[in-house]
Amino acid sequence: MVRPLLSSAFRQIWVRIAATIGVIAAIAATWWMKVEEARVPDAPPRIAFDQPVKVGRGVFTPRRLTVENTAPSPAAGAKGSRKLVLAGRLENVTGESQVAVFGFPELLPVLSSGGRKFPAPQVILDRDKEPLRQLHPRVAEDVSIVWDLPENWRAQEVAIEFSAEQFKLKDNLYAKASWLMPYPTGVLTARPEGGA
Amino acid sequence: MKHLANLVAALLGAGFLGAMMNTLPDYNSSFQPFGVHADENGVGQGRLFKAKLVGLRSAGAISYAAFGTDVVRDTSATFLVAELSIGAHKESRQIEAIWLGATGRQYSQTIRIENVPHTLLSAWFQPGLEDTALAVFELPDDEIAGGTLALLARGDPILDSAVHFAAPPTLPEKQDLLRLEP
Repeated sequence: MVRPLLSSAFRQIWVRIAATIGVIAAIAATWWMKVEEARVPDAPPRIAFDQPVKVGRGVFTPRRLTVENTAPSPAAGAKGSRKLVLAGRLENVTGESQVAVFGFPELLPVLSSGGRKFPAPQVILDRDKEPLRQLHPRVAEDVSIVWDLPENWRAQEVAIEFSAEQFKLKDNLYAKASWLMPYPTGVLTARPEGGA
Repeated sequence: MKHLANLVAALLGAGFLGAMMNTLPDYNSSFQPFGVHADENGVGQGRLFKAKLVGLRSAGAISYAAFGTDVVRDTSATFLVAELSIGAHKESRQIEAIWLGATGRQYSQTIRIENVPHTLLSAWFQPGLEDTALAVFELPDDEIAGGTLALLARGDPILDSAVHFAAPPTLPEKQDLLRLEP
């Protein structure tokens, strides 16, 4: 009579101990994940000229930042306005030709200066002096990223933020290869040449 | 004994599940068009079209006339021009060309060369009528030898056929400038 009662009491205690250990483990894991998250810096790394940075589905190497009175292409931006031109080399690092080198939706570099954000730039293929519409793997091209500048803008230090997409060989929905999850990859801070 | 049996059943289930997960073909390999190889005469029969690779030409630059203006396009790589003869089987179709490079990379036709008559970018093929067309690629030199040309109906090619043409053993001599005439 006493043995079954004892056995039942031990079973209940064991179940409660196991449940308590599980809850403590879940709390500890969550706490440690938060600690890890806090240890990763939020700010993207600073990059310099001639230092490659990931953009969209490619790699861009910035070479020169200038203020120009004329656009590198008639198709670039509004007529008559000054342009901020970031020249560099762009390479498609995927396994297939891309019409969305900067990702889809497009993750064009973001220009800010004096606490003000600028409208999205245009990317010009220097070779054709026309907008870049496609890039093939292993065929790197010189490009110009062109922003329209407001008339009252004075040359000053600017920050250009770059973002890239993450390649997943098997996504969570269909287990198919996809480009997902944009993330910041670097910030170029520089004062443009030219333009008094 | 009962616990042991449950443990064995759970382990077997986990083992079978792991084996299925590791042997099941993934989406990328399952949802591909069926490959059909051209015969010894260079003619490939797809489900929706028939095609023949007439020839290949390569150049460092291409010129053509578009809307009355001469356009010249150069490249740091090589332009490869495939001359094709294509006829649709049952319905009017547009055909897409892909170059499967020697390294396994996939190259689409270059859209830097547009508004040229008879390129696959704009051509339509009618049932019962054969027509010629050009497919122009921009490729690194080492992707040409050992590469393959694949033609497939434009749209959603999944579970349709793709006609493959192996590159000839001797590649065309690279011209400095190739003029594409209408």
